[in-house]
Amino acid sequence: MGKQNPLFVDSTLHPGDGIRCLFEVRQVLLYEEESIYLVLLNTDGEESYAEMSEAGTHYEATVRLMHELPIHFYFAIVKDEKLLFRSQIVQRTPRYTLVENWEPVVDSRARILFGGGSPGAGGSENPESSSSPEAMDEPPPQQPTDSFNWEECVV
Amino acid sequence: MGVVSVINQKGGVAKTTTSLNVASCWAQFGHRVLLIDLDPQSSATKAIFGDREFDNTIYDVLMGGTAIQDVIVHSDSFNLDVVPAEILLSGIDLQLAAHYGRETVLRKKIEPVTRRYDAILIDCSPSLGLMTINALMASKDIIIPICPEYFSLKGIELILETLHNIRVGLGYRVGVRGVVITRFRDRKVTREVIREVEEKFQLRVFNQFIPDSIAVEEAHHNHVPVHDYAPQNLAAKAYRTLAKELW
Repeated sequence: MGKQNPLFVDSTLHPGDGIRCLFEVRQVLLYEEESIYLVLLNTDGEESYAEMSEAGTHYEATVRLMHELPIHFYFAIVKDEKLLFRSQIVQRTPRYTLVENWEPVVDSRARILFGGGSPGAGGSENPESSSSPEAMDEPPPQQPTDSFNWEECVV
Repeated sequence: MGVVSVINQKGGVAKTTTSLNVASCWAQFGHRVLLIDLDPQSSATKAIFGDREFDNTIYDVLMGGTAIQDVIVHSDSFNLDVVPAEILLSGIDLQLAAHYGRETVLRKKIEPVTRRYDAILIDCSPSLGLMTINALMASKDIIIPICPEYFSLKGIELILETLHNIRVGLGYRVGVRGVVITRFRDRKVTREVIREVEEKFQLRVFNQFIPDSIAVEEAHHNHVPVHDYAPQNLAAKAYRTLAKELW
């Protein structure tokens, strides 16, 4: 987590206050019948997802989160309910907007959410993932914190 | 038009000169214009009013219970209303740091007069601090004066990063009306810098450049706009054309 300039922290909000956070993912190209989802992870590792809509040069989705309390998420490109590509799970501190660039990796764990489709061609290989059983049983690279409130996440 | 901030985190790029002369031109065109001096150095205030002292300034509006209507002063020479500044603004970051809603104090304080004017121009301090954040949070968009040299590109980067951080952290989107080229001299590097502003930052560069001219400084010294001091001067004519382009 990078340093934060307090000039750009809303003084009317306390950590944990509800906030509508706009997620933007850039530098992504979707082909016909492909969709991109924002996938949020809660403290139990369970996932909820929101389909992102096109907004000019990027895709976006708005989610209700808790101000300044870290979250874990990734993006997934899906076609016919099968995962094609996904990005690395990242941890960020939500504010009004979170802007990420699309950087695909291949991780077999993500297939669980989308019904076991095989990863598509292309994208960079995640050195942590492979088709071996050990990779399937590995814990997520970052553990979600207790501050993520599954109940509050409105998708 | 709404509220517009004239901003650049690099000093010496003719922010105040541009604010004064553009505001004065707009007023001459028949628009109702308010100029807010938000710089602790009070450059705009001094350029208009000289050594005149004010009992109440923008500081009193932001920190005290003074209504903005009570600090507005009219300038006959510039034909516009002005909210003067003072050096106490230099400490306001410390005073407002723990204030609830510190980012939008200025927006709230000027709200009672926004409908009274066709345009409100804010002359910002070159430093990035709470006052600059307040100016941006009160503004619909910004004008960026630059002297076309290498360091001006870094200045634009800083401003765009600030606007991005405001959008991300404070949830407010400020537009960029465009870039004004000041102290223009027709050299190859100048043209290259201008091209880079347009291509790299995808920002509009206003067609009218402001040439370097001693008449501008002399006009400051005489506390009049340059188009009154030297109407036929190239910079004076340029500011008139620029004011039309900016409107």
